Formats: sequence, structure tokens, C-alpha cells
Amino acid sequence: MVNKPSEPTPGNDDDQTLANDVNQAMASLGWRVPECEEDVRRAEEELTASVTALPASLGDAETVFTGKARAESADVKTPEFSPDVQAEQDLARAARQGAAIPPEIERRMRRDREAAEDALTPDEAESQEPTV
Amino acid sequence: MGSTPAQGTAHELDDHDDSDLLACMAMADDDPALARTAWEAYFRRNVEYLYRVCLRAYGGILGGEAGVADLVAEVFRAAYEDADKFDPAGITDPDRLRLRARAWLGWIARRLVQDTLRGRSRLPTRNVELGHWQQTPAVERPRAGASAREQAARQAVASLSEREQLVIRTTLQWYRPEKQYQRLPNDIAADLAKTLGTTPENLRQIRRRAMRKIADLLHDHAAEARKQGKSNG
Repeated sequence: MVNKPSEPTPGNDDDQTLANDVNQAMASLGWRVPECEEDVRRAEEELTASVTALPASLGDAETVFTGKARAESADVKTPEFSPDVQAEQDLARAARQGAAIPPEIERRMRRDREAAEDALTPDEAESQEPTV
Repeated sequence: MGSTPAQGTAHELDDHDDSDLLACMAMADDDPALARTAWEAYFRRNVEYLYRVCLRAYGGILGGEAGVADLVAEVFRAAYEDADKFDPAGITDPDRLRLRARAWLGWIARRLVQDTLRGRSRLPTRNVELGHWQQTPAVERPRAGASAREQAARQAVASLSEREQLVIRTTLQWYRPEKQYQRLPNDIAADLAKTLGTTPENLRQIRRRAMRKIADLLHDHAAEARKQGKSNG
């Protein structure tokens, strides 16, 4: 039976060597962005073996320079609730008067909510659920 | 950030090396039009490279292509703002300057990702919680000339569970080769734990377990190599 080394302890040379090994492994796996000339050159050689299309948001230098691409990112979809001015006024009035929400307003709110949820794909709808 | 230069002038700087372009950007106060043009030339020259290395390194952390695109855009904007901080270190060879400039971009990217992992960035971390980690395919082709130990370390890291890989990949963003101790500072561990949806102690436990697994695999590999060396005479 091979004797295993003891648990690495802070400051232990083995611990430092292991960290170096793992760091190098991560670099070779492409899990670290190159930060030295040698690693950059190696990454360039590896990347020649494949082709990756640049996203449209990075295709326009002006957009990137001004930061507009970030504001217009459509990757995260959120439900859009159509503004209903009349409903908002009714709700505000009900809140001020302490009265119940009129049934017609309640039905309209429920209909708007269901329409917004239907607009999401099943995956997006699931992602909207709070995580534990 | 500066004014828009005349159309087509970015290509006039194509024969300038990256160090020259960064030097032009550093003089944005004196000549904003030239700085802007230099930035565009620098951007066009390096965006594809940076996007591709960031996608494979951070795609899983930042939620895929869109998140990485946001990161890349932030990196290039940061490069413009901090162009005066690029140090060519006396290098004059254009190819080496190119490599050095890209290495600098990588350093900026890692700092931005660190901020993101600590919840201190506008870049969102989508689905980065331990329970939602999406494995990003690793580089398939092993590095030519890699030592046997490096190859063994690579296999060991790749054999970790997805949860362990995520912890290793995030915590080792703070790896400091010049530091004797690689313990993650408490405040960073707390921020990372929050981002990953766990506790700092659990984060450290997972990391310790993963590092121990790797150490054991490397030890077994070394023992096997010694045994084979003896049997081969």
C-alpha cells in the first residue's frame, strides 16, 4: 500500500508546489486567461485549431467604446408588464381610500401577468424561480 | 470617452505596434481623436483573441457568450482608461510587444472577473451558484512538450467533480505565485461564498478536498512512474 502524504499545511513546500501544479493545469486546460507572453503564444496556437464567431455586440467598435452594447443587451429577459394607466389610477385611488381592488382591474392585472409569463420560454420561466 | 474620429483613419494605424497604440491612448487628454483612433485599431486587432480566451476561461462563470462579450467590452474600455499603465519593459520586438499587450489584457480581464466574483461589478454572474454550474469544455488538445507531472495535474483537475472544479476555478483566480501561502483572504472567501450560494467554511472545505484529491492523484502518478522506472532498469 502506498503511503499518502499528510494533509497539506499552509506554508508547506508541498502545498506551494501543488498550488503551482494546479495553476499550470488550469492554464493548460484554458481555464485561465493568459497573463504572460509564453501563455499568450500557446493560447494563440491552440486557438488556430478552432473557429469561434464573434458576437454581434463586439462587432461594432463604436458601440463598445461608448458602452451602449451593455445597455442594449437582450440576453436577460424579464417579463414586461404593459402599463395600464387607468388600472394604476384605480389602484392608487383604492389605496388612498382603503377600498378593495375593483374586480375588473383585478381581472386585467391577472390577464396581463399571464400574458407576460406566457412570453417566457419554459427555461426562462424556470430561471425566474427563486433558488434555494 | 473621447470624440469620434474621421471614418477609416483607424486602418492608418495598422502598421503601429500595440505599444505605440497604447501610448497614443495614454495621450487622450492631448489628442482625443488620435487616442480614439488608436483604441479602435487596438480593439480590432485583439478583440477576437481576447473573446476566445475569455470564453473558454470564464464562459461558465459569466453565463456564456453574452456575459463574456460584456467582459471583453469592459476590458477594452479599461485598457483605454489605463493605457498609461501598460509597461513595454523596454521591449522593441513587435511580436513580443503584441504578446505582452495581450498578456496585459488578460490581467485586466482577471481583475474584472475577480470583482464580478466578489459581487462588486456591473457584470452579472448568471447561474454561477454551485448547484447551477455549467461545465465549460476544457481544451481538448494537451500541450505539446508538457512534462509528465503537468499532464498528470491536468488529468487530476479535469477529474474533479463539477462542484469542485467550480470552486477551484474561482478561488484560483486569486493565485499568487510569489506568495508562499495561498490561503484565500476571509473577505474574498466571504464574497465568493455569497456569489456561489454557500458559506465560506463550505467553500474552503470543498477547496481543501479538491486539492487533496489532486495531491493524491499526483502522488500515485509519481509512485507509478518510479515503479516503471525501476522495472525498466
